[in-house]
Amino acid sequence: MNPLRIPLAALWVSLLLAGAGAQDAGPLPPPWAEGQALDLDLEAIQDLPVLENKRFKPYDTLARSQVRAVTWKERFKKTHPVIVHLYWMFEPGSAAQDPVIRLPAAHVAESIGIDVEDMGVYASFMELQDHGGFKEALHPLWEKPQDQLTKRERAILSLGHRWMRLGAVTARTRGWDTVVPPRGVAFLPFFPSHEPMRPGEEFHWFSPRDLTLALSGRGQRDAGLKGWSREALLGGLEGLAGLRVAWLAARRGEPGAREAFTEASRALRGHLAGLGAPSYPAQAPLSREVRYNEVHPFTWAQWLYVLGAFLAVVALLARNRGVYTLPFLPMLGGLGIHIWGLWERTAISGRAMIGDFYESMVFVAAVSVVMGLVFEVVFRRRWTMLGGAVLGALLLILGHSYPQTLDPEISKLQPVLINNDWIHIHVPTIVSSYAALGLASLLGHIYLVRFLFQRPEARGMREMSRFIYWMMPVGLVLLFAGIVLGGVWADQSWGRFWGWDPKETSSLITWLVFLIVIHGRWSGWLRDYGTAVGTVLGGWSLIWTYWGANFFMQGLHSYAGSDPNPKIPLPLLIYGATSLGLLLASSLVWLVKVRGPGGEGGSDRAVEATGRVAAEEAGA
Amino acid sequence: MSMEQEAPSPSPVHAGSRVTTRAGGLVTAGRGVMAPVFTVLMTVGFLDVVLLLLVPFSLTRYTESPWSSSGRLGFLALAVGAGILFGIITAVAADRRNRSPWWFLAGHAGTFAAPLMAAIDWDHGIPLAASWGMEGPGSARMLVLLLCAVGSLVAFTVFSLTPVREHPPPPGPLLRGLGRFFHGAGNIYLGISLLILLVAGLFYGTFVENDYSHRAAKYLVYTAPWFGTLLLAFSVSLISATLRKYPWRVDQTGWLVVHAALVLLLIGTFMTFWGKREGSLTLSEGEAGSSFPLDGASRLVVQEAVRSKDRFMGFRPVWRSMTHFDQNPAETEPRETYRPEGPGGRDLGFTITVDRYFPHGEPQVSHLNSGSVPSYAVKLETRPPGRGATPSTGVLSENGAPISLGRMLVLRIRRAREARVVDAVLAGAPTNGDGEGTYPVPPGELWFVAGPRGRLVWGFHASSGAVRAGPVEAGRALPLGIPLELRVLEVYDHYVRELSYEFGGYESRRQVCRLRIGGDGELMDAGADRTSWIFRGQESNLPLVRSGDSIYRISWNAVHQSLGFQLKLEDFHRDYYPGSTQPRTFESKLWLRDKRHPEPRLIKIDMNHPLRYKGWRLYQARFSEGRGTETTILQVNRDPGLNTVTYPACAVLTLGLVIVFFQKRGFLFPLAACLRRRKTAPMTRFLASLGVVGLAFLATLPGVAIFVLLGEGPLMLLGPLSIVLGLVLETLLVTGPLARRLKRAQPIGVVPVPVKPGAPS
Repeated sequence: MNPLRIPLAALWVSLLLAGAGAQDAGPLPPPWAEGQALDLDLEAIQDLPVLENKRFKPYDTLARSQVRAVTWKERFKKTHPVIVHLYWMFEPGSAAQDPVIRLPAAHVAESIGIDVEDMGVYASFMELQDHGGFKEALHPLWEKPQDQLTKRERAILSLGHRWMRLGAVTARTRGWDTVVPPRGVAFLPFFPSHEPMRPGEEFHWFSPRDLTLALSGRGQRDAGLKGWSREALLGGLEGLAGLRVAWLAARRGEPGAREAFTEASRALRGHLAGLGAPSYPAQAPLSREVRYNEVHPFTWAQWLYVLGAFLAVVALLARNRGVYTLPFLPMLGGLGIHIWGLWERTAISGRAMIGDFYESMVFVAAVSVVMGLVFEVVFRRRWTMLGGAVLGALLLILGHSYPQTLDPEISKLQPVLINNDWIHIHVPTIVSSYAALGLASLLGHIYLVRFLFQRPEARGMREMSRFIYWMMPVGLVLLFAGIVLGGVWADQSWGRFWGWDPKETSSLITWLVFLIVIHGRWSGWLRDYGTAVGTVLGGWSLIWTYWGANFFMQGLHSYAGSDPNPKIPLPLLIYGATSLGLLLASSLVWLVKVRGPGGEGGSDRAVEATGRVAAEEAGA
Repeated sequence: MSMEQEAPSPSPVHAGSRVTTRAGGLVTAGRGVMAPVFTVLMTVGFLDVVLLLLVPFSLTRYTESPWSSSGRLGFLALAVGAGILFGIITAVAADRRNRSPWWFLAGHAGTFAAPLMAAIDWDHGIPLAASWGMEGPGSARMLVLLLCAVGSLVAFTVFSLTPVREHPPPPGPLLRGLGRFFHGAGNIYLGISLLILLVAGLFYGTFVENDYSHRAAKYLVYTAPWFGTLLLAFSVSLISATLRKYPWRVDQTGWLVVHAALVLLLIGTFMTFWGKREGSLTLSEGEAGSSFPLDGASRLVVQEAVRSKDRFMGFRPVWRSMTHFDQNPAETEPRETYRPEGPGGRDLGFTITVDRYFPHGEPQVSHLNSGSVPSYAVKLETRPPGRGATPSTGVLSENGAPISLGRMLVLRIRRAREARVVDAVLAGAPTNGDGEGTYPVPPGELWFVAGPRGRLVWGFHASSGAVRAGPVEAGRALPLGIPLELRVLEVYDHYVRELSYEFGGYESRRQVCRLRIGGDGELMDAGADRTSWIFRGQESNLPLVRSGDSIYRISWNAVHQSLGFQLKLEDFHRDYYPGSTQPRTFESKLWLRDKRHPEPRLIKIDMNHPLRYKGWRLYQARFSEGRGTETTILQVNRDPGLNTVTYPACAVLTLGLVIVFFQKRGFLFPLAACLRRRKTAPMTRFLASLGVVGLAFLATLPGVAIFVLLGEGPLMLLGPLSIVLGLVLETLLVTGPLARRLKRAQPIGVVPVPVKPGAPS
């Protein structure tokens, strides 16, 4: 008989006792219900190291990403994600009854027989579990190839993933609840393996379920647990069980539960750290990540930029020296926290933070604010500052609006991108060029708006046109360098410098479009208004390169996986309509102002004073 | 092309008056008057470009000439580039001294020597140089550079020593015409229009790519003649725009560098287009290979059956032709006709027409009852037991191989008295449609026997020993006595099984085409529509044609490209991530051997370390395994334009852009100051103008260094570093007090020369 069996019996008893208290009191309402708010000291449990997705992360990050994945919100009903996650783990019975799984759009939900009016936006695990229509619709989708799924099927599959995810946390699926004594904590990969790991080798940490299986001798994956003594394993389980007892006590509102919970979390962490496992990570980076999670630097930066943009508008209207400095404060503050966030994220992930689309958007936002401020310091005309703030805020808002597509979680890079310095050279270069060209295009839009109301030869208008014109070369140099560096990278990795990949081609198109605008201006073909229109068109091309080529075309740069039936996101549609309307309206105004009978089309050239043209014509 | 858009600074030579600059390219060329040196420079420059573009094209397109070696193309590029550079130096110098422009030609010694040397295989080593201890292509290149330098030096010395002529020789009508052409072609509006067309073409190309495939977009747009013409027109416009500004001013340095680099970049593009070879080399362990099938180049081969004393001795190839129908994946009905000829122009008497081509063909088997010979087949539907099981149908016929029960039953039927045994078909345990649970079907044998009058009879011998039999009738189930329903759907008595292909997508995977034979030839074993399908690289069951009293075999294969060395796979090795089937790394160990080094060397190719040898680059792409042996698939390519032209051009262009965009009016202030003094001696001014060019190139050196040092790891960081450094320096220079001083920079060495009365204006 396995000698471990005997203490296992003791373990069972202790865990059952621990659970008994909750059974006596009956299921409690969820922690986000009225009057159930918990006042716990989460600090000690937040940075408990776990290993998920080939990365050490604090428990806090795991809780956040799982709550976000299931509910599409980080703070579900204004409750701290760690509390929500602890509730799911420790009270799986009642957690399975709470409506927390975000349902897809109403027409999709109704097509599988889910009554949205009855259920609302969220469904509970058990509701979906017992829902025949959902199961029937989901079943054939598991094996269907990814690229053959329709939009609707994708939504259903994604709902299925959310359902499974919650099921894994609450140990509801695959009958784990019959195996695992502390129901619900099956998922948490908290226990380190014993063997020293070679660098780069795949290893995993163990969940309570693995520990229990190892103790009972039934484990499949206990190779890494073999070196641990029985006490070590039991200590891990008991620490978790103790935490659960403290949690339940706190939930029942027992006196001293807050201290007991803190004590229990410290005990658990102390035991795990005291094991001396070779793979046990250092505490400092984990605490750093918890701090990063708590601060949300990019959300702060976003709102500060919004404030900065607002103040910049005020400064534009006020024309007062004191007011002029006002927008700098929130913008510099936002930029500071933005850069701090970039720095933290880089430090946490151990790579430059430009690995996925979300990160690239955050990066572009930072670069555009920096450029806006730099040009502002040079020109002192308020417009570039406004442009930088608006572009930065817009990009951050867009980046945070689609958590399903643009996952803000820190992830490991694809294998082809790891151990490759090129990503650190190519991506920042090209993405900075997007910022410069985007800024030029944004100012082009503002110019067109002003064009509707102001005379083109006014001093402010001419100046603004010059800003637009000055930003393009910066972007063009960076874009060209980025394209070439990308080509060199491709040559190193795939053996070709240029392969007409859609992304390559469209970035070349963007480069050429801005080149046309610049040459058009040099040649005198485009004047102030024409330059603005050209940058607006260049902006379209830029958007196509940045988003379109990734999400509409199949190629090497598809960050988010190519969707066979892509839908243009609403903000882009609104932008397109606005931009097109602006072009049309301003062209009408142009016809009247510049080309019309009262216009001064002829004298425009003298105002423009394009030196080369004048020189050429004088010479010829 | 300067940043600042300002009115021209006052010049001692007032444009528009009867006084004109001697060689003011733009000013005089606009009127059709052009300095002869300028014309010669442009003419020879164009000749160089033509040499660089067209000679490789005519020599490498689908041929295996010695010119297709990337080393030679690179050599040619180097020589022509050096020729242009030294020629320009000489010409500019001659122009400064008001000397005859024909000295310029001396500077081009290398340009004209290079193809000659390459043609007689001197670029791989010069006998004389070898005796001095210099070996390999390097010495040949040194020699060419030396020739260029010596030519330019001699010219330079000669015209420096001879007295200066007072007036340049007047231009003739030809030169004036050329001047007008370049003035027109270098028009910036033309350039912009061409850019717009280029953008439209590229945009169209991305959509073609999305709708069809990568290869289709390449064929229809990126490598199409119209796009090439557009690029060529753009190059001409670019060159003209660059040259018509001659003589260049200091503040045009950046502009000049950028435009020259763009021309170089386009040349590199053309060289890649015409010189690139790629494909994949597949080697099993222990296998050696010295050639590989090229991507996108294939040919039709006709082989004739050789008979000796009425005995078949094998096939011998008599005709081959490159195919074009497979170049465009978007065209599935090419209708391309070939008339094969035997050795000595002998007409083989038939034509081959390809009327279908699919980049990826899905095989379709059709069962017809139209054969000429009696042959039997049965179409059966099987329904395994169990709830929700889906029935499947299949045809039992002669050629098929048995497939497991529940999917398709394939039996063989003979018009013979003895029963043909169908073994193992009913053995095994089929699953029902859900994949849950199995139902054991007793093993047994099912026979189909064709009776004497063509009637089919079935017999079933169950393993339990029970025997059942009965006539086969369409629409009736066979009472086998086991829980498997077998229903006869159709009975064929003149069964023909035809393999055809259906369109399966534009991505090139299994490329298939349909052949139709015309003339006196006749396809043997052809189906009802007298056509035959083959796929690229097919080796067995090839279509046979009977024409006259000979039999021919037609195949369609990839063109093989010789590597010039031999690789033998010693070992293929890979690592998995522990506990998964995901390979972490894989690498091939190969023996490398060639003519010069007969002793094989052991080399290693892994995912991040390609082999670079003799201009070829071999990457570890994929692998496959089967039947105990592992096979490595190496991606092979050679791109003559990349390292020799494209990379340097990119480096030069990047830093040229930095200069042009951040210099305002130039940053070579000491030179500008020197040149501004009117009393400066011509030689000093010449040296100063050389300095302009030299410094501009120096500024781009860090960029060049990035590419030269490629693959050296951290050194690659030099690239962005140099760009950032350049930006900082330029910004400092622009914002500093220099900008003000540089605004008054004058054109280099402009001397007012009164136009002679009567000269064309």
